[in-house]
Amino acid sequence: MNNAGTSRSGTPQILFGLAVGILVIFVAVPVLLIFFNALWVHGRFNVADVVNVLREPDTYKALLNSLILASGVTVTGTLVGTFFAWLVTRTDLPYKGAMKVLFLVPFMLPSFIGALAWKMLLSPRSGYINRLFVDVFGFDGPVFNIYSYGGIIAVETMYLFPFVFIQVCGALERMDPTLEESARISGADLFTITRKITIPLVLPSILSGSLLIMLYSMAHFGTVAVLGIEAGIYNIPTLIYERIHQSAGSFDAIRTGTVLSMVLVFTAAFIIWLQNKVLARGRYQIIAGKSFRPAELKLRGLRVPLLLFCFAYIGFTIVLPTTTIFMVGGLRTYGLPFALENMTLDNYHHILFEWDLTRDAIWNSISLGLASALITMFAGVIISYVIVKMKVRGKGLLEFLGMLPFSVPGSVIALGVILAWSGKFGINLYNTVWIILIAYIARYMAFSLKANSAALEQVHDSLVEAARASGATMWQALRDIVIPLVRPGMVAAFFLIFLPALRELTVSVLLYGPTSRTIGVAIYTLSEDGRFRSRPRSRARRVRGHAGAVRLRQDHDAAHGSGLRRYR
Amino acid sequence: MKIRHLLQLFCFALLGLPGFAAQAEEKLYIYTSMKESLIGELKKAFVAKHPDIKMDYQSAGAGKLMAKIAAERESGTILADVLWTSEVPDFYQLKAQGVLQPYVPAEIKALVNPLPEYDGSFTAVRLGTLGIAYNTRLIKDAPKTWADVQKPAFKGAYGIANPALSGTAYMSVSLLVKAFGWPYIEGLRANGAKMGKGSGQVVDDTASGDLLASLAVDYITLDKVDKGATLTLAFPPEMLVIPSPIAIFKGSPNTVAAKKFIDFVLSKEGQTIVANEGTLPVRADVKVPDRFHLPPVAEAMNRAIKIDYKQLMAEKEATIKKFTGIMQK
Amino acid sequence: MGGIRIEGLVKSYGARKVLDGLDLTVEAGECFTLLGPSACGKTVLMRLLAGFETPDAGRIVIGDTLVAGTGVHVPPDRRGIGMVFQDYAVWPHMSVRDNVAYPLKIAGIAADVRAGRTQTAIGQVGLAGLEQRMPSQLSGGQQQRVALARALVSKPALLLLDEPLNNLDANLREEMRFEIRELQQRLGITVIYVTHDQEIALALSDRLAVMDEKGCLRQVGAPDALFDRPADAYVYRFLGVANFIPVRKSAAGWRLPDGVTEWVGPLPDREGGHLAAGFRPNDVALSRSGAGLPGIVRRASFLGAQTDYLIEVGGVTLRAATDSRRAGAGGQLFRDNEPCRIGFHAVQWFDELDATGTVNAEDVSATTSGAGHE
Repeated sequence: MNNAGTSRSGTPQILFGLAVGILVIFVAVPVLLIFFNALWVHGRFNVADVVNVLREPDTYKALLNSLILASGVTVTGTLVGTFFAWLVTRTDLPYKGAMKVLFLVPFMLPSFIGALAWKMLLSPRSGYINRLFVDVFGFDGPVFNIYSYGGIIAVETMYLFPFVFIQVCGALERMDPTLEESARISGADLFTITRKITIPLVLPSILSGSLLIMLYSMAHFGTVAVLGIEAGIYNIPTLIYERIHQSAGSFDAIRTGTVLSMVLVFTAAFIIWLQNKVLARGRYQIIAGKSFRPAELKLRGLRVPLLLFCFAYIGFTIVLPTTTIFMVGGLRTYGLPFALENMTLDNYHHILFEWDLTRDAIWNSISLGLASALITMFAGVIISYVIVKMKVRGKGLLEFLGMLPFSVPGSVIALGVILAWSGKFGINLYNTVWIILIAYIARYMAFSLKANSAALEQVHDSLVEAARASGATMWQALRDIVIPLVRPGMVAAFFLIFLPALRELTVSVLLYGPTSRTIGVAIYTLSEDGRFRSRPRSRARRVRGHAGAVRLRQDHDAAHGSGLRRYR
Repeated sequence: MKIRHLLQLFCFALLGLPGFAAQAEEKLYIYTSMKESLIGELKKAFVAKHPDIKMDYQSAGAGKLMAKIAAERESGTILADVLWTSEVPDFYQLKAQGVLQPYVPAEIKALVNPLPEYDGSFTAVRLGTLGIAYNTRLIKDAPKTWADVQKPAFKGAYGIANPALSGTAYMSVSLLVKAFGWPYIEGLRANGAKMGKGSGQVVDDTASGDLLASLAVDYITLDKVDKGATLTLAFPPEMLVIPSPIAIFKGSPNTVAAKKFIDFVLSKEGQTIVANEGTLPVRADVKVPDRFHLPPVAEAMNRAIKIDYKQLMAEKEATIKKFTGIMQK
Repeated sequence: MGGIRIEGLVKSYGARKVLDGLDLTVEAGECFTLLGPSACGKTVLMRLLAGFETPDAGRIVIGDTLVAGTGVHVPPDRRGIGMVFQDYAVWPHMSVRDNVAYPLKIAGIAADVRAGRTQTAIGQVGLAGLEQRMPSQLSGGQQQRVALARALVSKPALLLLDEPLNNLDANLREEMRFEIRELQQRLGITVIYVTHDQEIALALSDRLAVMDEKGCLRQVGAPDALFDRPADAYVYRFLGVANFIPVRKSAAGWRLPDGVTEWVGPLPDREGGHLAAGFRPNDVALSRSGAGLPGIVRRASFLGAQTDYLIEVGGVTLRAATDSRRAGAGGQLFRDNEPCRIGFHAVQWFDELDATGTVNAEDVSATTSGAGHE
């Protein structure tokens, strides 16, 4: 409840203006522009397309599918993410540091690669696991069918649960354990404490993670495209993809696609509104002015079973598909059985040492990932600060604008960015790496806003007010008090952005130019025209990049850990 | 991680971003759906011949490229000088909208020209063929006619790419319907045929055994065969031959370089590179290497189901709708 | 320097008017307490003083500076105040020393000077030796002192304390209360202290103001003046446990609500037919016989030095407290359900309506009210 935004001092206004400017210019304008272009044709409202979209039964079927899949993924992803976050932050589970990193691995892999891996493992006819059951155990037919709602939900869950995991980890690390302890003293068992105390307190983080999963899944194309088409499962993004790909170079066809994507926007707006309703019921400020000591919960008899469970989960959802992909990468060509005579290291050798596009792409992606993650992280803190801590009119609108690009498919964003930044308004960034940077900022702002708002919700207002009363300007208070305290949220935001940005494809494939190929584009270039077996080869290189990211994360954790030790 | 470190990281990141490309001599930018190996080889040879031209390309699916072009047109300028994909209908549409700059190459008389009413707006530089790719590990009797894949041996395991996503798939479906009527498609579906995502994916799935056979593009299949995949591409008597046109955008500042590139692709040297990738060239004097087992150009043209491009374009939406309707029943 | 003038202050949240034309003057060097129930607007007034909120109308002058008024809003960081929050608001990521030194650092004080003054402030609140500790290694009381040291270190002319002792246990609260008072007097600063605890308010203040739920100041003055001469029953009730016995004028004299029992004790000193006699538990003198109202002891609680009674008289329940030792010596310790006689050392007269909020004579059995209204 800081009203100093109305103060007469200039710096905060400029900074907030800047943050809001970034939000509006980089994030909102491209999306709004494309909707504007979609809805107004030659100065007239585009009735025809709107009516067509609304009249087409496919729209509703696709929307229903989008909602079914997104809800399923949200529920399972939230449960999985919250559970593992709790396990690795608040218990004495062994190896939890390593596990925390392992759980992030899926987030570094493009989900369409994951979908392909699972298709190889679980497709009814040729999936390796199904074949194992049929050939070795003598089953009559395939045991699993990945081409189903359940299959799509399971695969998306494996790749999207980090949205919740990362944020809840941050929140739990900040939470006052005395709240749990006092409940335990009053005789509550572990289950009751978790349900009644822990979960409600980290609810903002859980909900903001779930919201990201929900919106991401609604606008997610890859998995459904790979696994859904055989069973006739399509969603709004695959419909949009079809429309956009039939454009034949004319914007008229794209209009239909963008009008369709407004269905997603309205649904997303409704979901955000709903979430705010839920959150408005109680404000949860966990970092109060009083300080505390973090503590761990003893798992006792559950320690070993839970450890085995984690190993099984990591083995099944991370090691298995990743190994599959690497093995396929070693095949002379995709589709051959895994036999020694079919294996070769040539593929890896070619990509790593011969193909010069890879080097540029890796460099570009790392630079773009770092730049977009850092810009978005800082802008996100400031914008979240306005949204969460300041009494400003229209901050709901700010939040919506920030979430907007997240709720439409990447290809729509990319088209909007082209419209906005190719000279129409005097600035032409087209075909340079900067336009990709802008697109990444637009696309990933939602991650930063969500992670930072959740962290900020938990910082008590009085900590900031105490700084103001000590003579600090709003900017100084932000720098000295708020930012250090929301650092876990910022770090979460950084990795939520950096990791997917490294492998980003949808946006970059439409925006890249001769000097600005990204890893995603390199993979895509190899995979187009059915050269899938080439794809994993470039991944080897990329995984090295990721290893760097993981090391970074560990470094951070070490620093954080020592910080905590100092607290003790 | 201290803020200061983050800022250092940030500066480092910005340094990493390449700036605007240095202004070079003559430039040429190509949008193409040709695979990396083909366009890469052509670029190498072309630049060796014309070192004064700085050529680059963007290789992506035709659908993506066309969406990009649409957005570029909407915002003012098309960035590319040359467009080269396999989606003939797209070229007809662009021509109708007056976006293409006609150019009749000098060697046109020496070429096989599958395009009627040719005015130089776009020129075929390669002939794609589609056949039935089947997995030789699982299928011993090669399919000989289009009807063979309706047999029980292929039950539930024949794939066709989604015509809504792939123009090649659309043209193939349309030609098969023209030759055999809709009952043929219904027969396929009755035998459990499936719709896959893209042209590449159905071949991948055939190679892995997820499908037993698929309606497959020649160079995609032959490239995999080259690498050891247990696939064979069978051509029934009625062939599907689909040209890949190339065109120059109107208003391009680099038309001279663009024309040089088209001439080069059509030259014997260029066509040899095309043929070596496992597709039919448009020159009779260039032979596809024998290991690909492709019929000669002239024979392929004779066996091809004739294409009526006007009808193809007029019926696109209805055909796709009817096809997906049948396949997703 | 350091005095405060508040004129016609208005603040609303939506439709709810929290302050409506409040006027108040606090002298420089004074320890002034705002006493009132929760949500009465005292915290809002504090936040307006600090600059965290802007008034809808009215002016605030601190020292000679207009800090809030039409078109003027001096932000908190330029008001030169020290503030201690209810929940301490000690920054968890800074050591005790860093917390305390922060205001000086912001003010751009040179490092050596800063170190000295920080050390002095830490010494003043008795935390010497704990400079390196992180807040999570401190007890609640110690964190409270850190907050206090942080508020004092920049030698503000005005110190705002928002219920700073609420979260402390009783002993610590008492100790800190004296320390704050002592510091305030030694440093000669102006202190505004917000609380709902009348004991702290009475012990600490030079002057205090009692505020009601509507944000109105009921009475402003020195602690003894308010205690002895409350302006109304509200103030009386707020400053301690209060008993009220409604009495009605009848032909025969003053009678209690049962209409039978006759009032015995000091006679009303004010006009009106419906009055209430107000008195504190220790204003009651209990005896076994003699003059006084006849009552029955409903419950006797021996609390050591003092014995508490719940007594029923004429349809009204009262609380009384007597000195255990003296009563024991005089054989005046009562047990449950023994009859007794009730006399008064002192009685304050109020209108019945003011005291009980009702004139319905049948419904006044529970007229005893404790302090706080929490």
